[in-house]
Amino acid sequence: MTELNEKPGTRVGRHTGTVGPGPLNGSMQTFLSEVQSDLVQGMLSPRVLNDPELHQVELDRIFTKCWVFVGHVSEIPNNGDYLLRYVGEDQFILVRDEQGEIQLLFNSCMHRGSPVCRAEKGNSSHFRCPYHGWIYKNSGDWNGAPQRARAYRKFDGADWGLRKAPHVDSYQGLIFACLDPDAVSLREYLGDMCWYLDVLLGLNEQGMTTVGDPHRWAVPSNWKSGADNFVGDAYHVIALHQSLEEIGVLGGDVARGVGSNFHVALDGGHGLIVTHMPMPEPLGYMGFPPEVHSTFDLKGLDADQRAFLDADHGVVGFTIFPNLSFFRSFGATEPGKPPTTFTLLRQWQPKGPENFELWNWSLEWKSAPKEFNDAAYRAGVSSFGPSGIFEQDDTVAWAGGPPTGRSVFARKTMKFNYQMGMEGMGDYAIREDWIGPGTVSTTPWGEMNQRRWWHQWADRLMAQ
Amino acid sequence: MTAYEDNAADGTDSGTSIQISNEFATIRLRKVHTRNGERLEIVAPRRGLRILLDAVELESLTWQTPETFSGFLRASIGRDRGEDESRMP
Repeated sequence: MTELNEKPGTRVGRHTGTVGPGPLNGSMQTFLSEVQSDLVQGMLSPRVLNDPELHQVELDRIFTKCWVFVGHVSEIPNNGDYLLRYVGEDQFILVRDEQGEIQLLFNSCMHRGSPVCRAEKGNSSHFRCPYHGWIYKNSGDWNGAPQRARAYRKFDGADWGLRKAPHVDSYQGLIFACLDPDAVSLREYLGDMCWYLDVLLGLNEQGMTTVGDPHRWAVPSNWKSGADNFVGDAYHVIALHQSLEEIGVLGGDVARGVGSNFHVALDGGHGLIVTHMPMPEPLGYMGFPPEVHSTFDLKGLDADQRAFLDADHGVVGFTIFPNLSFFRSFGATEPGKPPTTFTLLRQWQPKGPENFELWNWSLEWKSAPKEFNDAAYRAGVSSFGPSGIFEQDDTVAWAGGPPTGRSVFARKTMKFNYQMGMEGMGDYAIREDWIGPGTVSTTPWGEMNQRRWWHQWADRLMAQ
Repeated sequence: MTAYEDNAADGTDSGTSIQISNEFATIRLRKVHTRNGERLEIVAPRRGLRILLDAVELESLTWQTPETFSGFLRASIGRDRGEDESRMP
C-alpha cells in the first residue's frame, strides 16, 4: 500500500534556482512612478520610511538582487569558521568551508526549516540540525541523516543541500553575497567604488582586520535613514553633532572642517563624502600618525590614487548601495586627549519597515602599533556604537521616519525636501577637475548623493 | 567504540583532560596509561560513547581528508545498526 498513491522515491527537481521578483501591483507602480518624478523635483514622500508593502517589495527587489555585505575576511580566517549573517531579513551562515571557499548558506534545514546553526559563531566541519539530525557539510552539501538506509533509501542527497547564495566574492577584505543567479560580478556591481576602496583599505598588503565582533543594537527607524545619511549628509554635522563640541571631544574644527568636504556620486547609487584638509597634530599623511603611515606601501595604487592621497584627501563616509556604510575620521578617546583616526564599517539591517539593527565593525591596520590600534578602537566606539556620542545624536533624529511615514496626514500633505544643491539653489556645482572617478561637487551643501541613492532605490523597485 | 563508563578500568588516568566543543558536540580527551603504553581516550559524554586510540591510529588521522570524516558522519548521530556508514554513497 502506498500513501496517497504517490510513487515512492519520485525524483524531485533540484531547487537551486531562485524565483524572480513578483509583479508590482498597480497602486505600488503608481506610487513608485511618483517617487521618481518627485525626486526630479527634489522631493520624496514620507511613505518610503514606513510601509509594510513597500518593505516587502524592497526585500524582493533589492535584497535578493543586489550584492549585500555579509562580513569581513578577517572574521572567518580558518576553515570551518562560521558566523550568522543577514541578507535583508534572512539569516545565513557565512562559513569558510573545508576547501577554504567562502559560502553563504541559508540557515534552514531542508527537512523542516529548523535553524541548523544556533550559535552566532563557531567552527565546525559539519552542521547538524537539532530536530532530526540531518547533517550537512560546511560547504552546504547534504551529508547524511540517522537511519538513512531504512528511511531514505532512494534519496538523492545532491538535491537536498542547504540553499546557498549563488555568488559570494570579496573586495579589499569586504565579503559580499548576491542571491540573484544572473547577477553581474561584484567588481562590476561596485564599479568605481573599487577605486575608493583601494585608497581606503588597500594601503598595504596586510590590510585591515576587524576588532572583535560587530556591535549591534536595535534602532527604532527605517534602515534607509542610515544609508541616506552616510551616502552624503555632511550637512547635519553642524547642527546635530554640535554636542561633540559642547562636551569638548572635538573642537570647532568639526563645523569648520565640514566646509572642506564635498560629494562624490557614483553609478549604482553608491556615494562618498570626501574630505580635503590637513589633519590636526599628531595626525599626518592620510590622516594617520607617522608610526602608522610609515607602514603603508602604496605600490598597489595607480598614479591618480596616489595623487588623491598626496593632496590630503580622505573619505569620511560612504554608502555602498543598498546598506553598507563606512566612516573614517578622527576623535579623542576623552576630552583633552590628542585625536586619533578610527575606521568603522556600518550596516543597516532591516527588521520590518519601522526598525533596523545597526551593526558596527571596528577596523584596525594589521601593520599598526598596538597602542595606536587600541586608542583608535576606543575613539571609534566612543563615537559610534550603542553608547557612542554621534550615534545617540543620529538615531534620535532618524526615529522620526517611521511615525511620519505611517501618518495618513503626512502622506496626504507632506514631501521631504531633497532640493539642496539643485540648479539655482546655492553655490553647489559639479567639479570638472577631479582626479578620481565619479561626479564630484564643489561643496558639501547639496544632496546629489542622496537623490541618486533614492533614484537607484526607486529604479530597482520598478525594474522589470 | 564502546559504551562509556566513567570508571574505565582499562587504563590509568593521566590526570589531565581537555574538552573540545562547538554548538553541535562536546567531547573530552585525555591520555590514559595502559600497563605497557598509552592511548588517547575520546569521550562523548552526552552520547555515552568512548574510544581509545593508539599512536598509529592517531597518526593515520593525519592523512585523512575531510571526506573521511563526512563518511563517519553519514548517520549523523551515531552508527546505524548493521551498517558501515563510511561506505555509503
